[in-house]
Amino acid sequence: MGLLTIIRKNRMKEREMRILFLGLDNAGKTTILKKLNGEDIVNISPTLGFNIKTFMHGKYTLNIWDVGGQRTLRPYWRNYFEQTDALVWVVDSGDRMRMADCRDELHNLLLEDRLAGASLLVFANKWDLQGSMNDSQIRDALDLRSIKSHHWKILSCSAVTGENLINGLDWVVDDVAKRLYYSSTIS
Amino acid sequence: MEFLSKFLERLSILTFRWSSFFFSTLHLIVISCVDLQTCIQQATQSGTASKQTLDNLNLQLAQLSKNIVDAAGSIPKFDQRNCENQLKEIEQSLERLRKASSPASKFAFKRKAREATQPPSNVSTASVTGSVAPKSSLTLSSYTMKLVTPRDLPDPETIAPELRSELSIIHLDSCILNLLNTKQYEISALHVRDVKNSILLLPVLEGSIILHDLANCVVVVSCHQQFRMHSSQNIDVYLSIQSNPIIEHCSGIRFGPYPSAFTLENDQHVPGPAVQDFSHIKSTPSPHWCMLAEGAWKSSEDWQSILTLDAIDLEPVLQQALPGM
Repeated sequence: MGLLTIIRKNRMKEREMRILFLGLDNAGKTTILKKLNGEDIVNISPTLGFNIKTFMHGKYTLNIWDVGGQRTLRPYWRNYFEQTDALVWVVDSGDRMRMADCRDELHNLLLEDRLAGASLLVFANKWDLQGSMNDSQIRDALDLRSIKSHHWKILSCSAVTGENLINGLDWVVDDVAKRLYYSSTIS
Repeated sequence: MEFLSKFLERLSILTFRWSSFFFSTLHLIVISCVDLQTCIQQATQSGTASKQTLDNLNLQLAQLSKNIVDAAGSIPKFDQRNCENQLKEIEQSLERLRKASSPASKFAFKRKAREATQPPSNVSTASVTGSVAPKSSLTLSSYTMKLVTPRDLPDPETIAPELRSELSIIHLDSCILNLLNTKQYEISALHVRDVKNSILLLPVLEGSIILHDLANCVVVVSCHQQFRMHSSQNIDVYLSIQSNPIIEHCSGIRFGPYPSAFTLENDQHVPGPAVQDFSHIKSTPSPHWCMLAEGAWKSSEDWQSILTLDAIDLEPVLQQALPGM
């Protein structure tokens, strides 16, 4: 029994994951969360500050932090980095004009030490809307293949229809669990 | 092994305590900053302050600056800098208040304060220029003194189908733009950038609208998702929306209801006090926007005269309709 085993056991007691939802404004972060939680998604205003949602997913408790994406709020993102197990980056698939902006913000985030090792899921949201980009176009636009520092995956989804939201969450939970609790997934 | 595990537990408790401590310190500082600011603001609004109030405020300020200095090691540098800047602002406003409430001073050495005039929009404009739309997208750009109508939109056949839902309106000056009828396109997202002295009658949108760098304009829009306006001055917005509109780095924005002349429905979503100013995150009302008083709304006739305008004489209409610089 080594030091790592002890650390893993300590975390296992909690079986909690902390997931951070970030992305540009109007990407649909809050809408995705509300949809996952079965809430009404008709009138959602831009998030001033942040929302926290906690729910059970399989045998894990997920603490999801959804932080507003307006330009004035982005400097505050760094206050939420501590102890983040996974980062979910939400993209508006129809917003071609701001893809470059979106790519730069994402790559800046990934330089952060405190996010090192966190799994990265890119949700290409609003996939159902006519004229939106598909996942491989967004993968190239965001230059995801250059990311070597994080496990990443991109999934097209729709917060309105709920398509792929659960799949995305499954991937996040699996990836984090493999890293943190892999001794327990075997047993 | 037992020992090691206990040690680790201790360690985690310790870090937890420490982090919760610094969060709370920071929190306290921020709260007292806001408190002090409101106190000073109230006193300023009432004109003069008694000596006792001034002394009291002074004392609070001293306490606050001590707290910030004490917390220097335990809060992140970024936050500390923020706090210090805020402290400076408070000091200045207190100084102004003191000057206003004390009788003319006898003699003082004066130094002309050099106004730090940094355009705040600099940062945002610099970073967004990289994301200007490619040529082949649905764009209306670079018009001056022109009546812009749906006829000026490019033929749908020339635009790739996946680009037809997003319209950008860029670089207009002294124009009247009437896109209330854009049947050939189903526009769901709208970007507006760098428009001056113009009237924008925008289509009904299924999605969201984002506006950057507008000055002295009238904007009429109905959208279903989000309304965001950045770095703009002196705009009258007639808006129909379900969610809360937001503004950032703006000033002189006035909101009114969507004109009944353009809609068939009777129910109107007056945005009310739900506008959120992201550059004024305080409990006090934002100085950057207000509601248009009912008497100042444009009448149906005003709108009709804009609608039925021919392309020749925009100038008088613009002069009459715009909020003014």
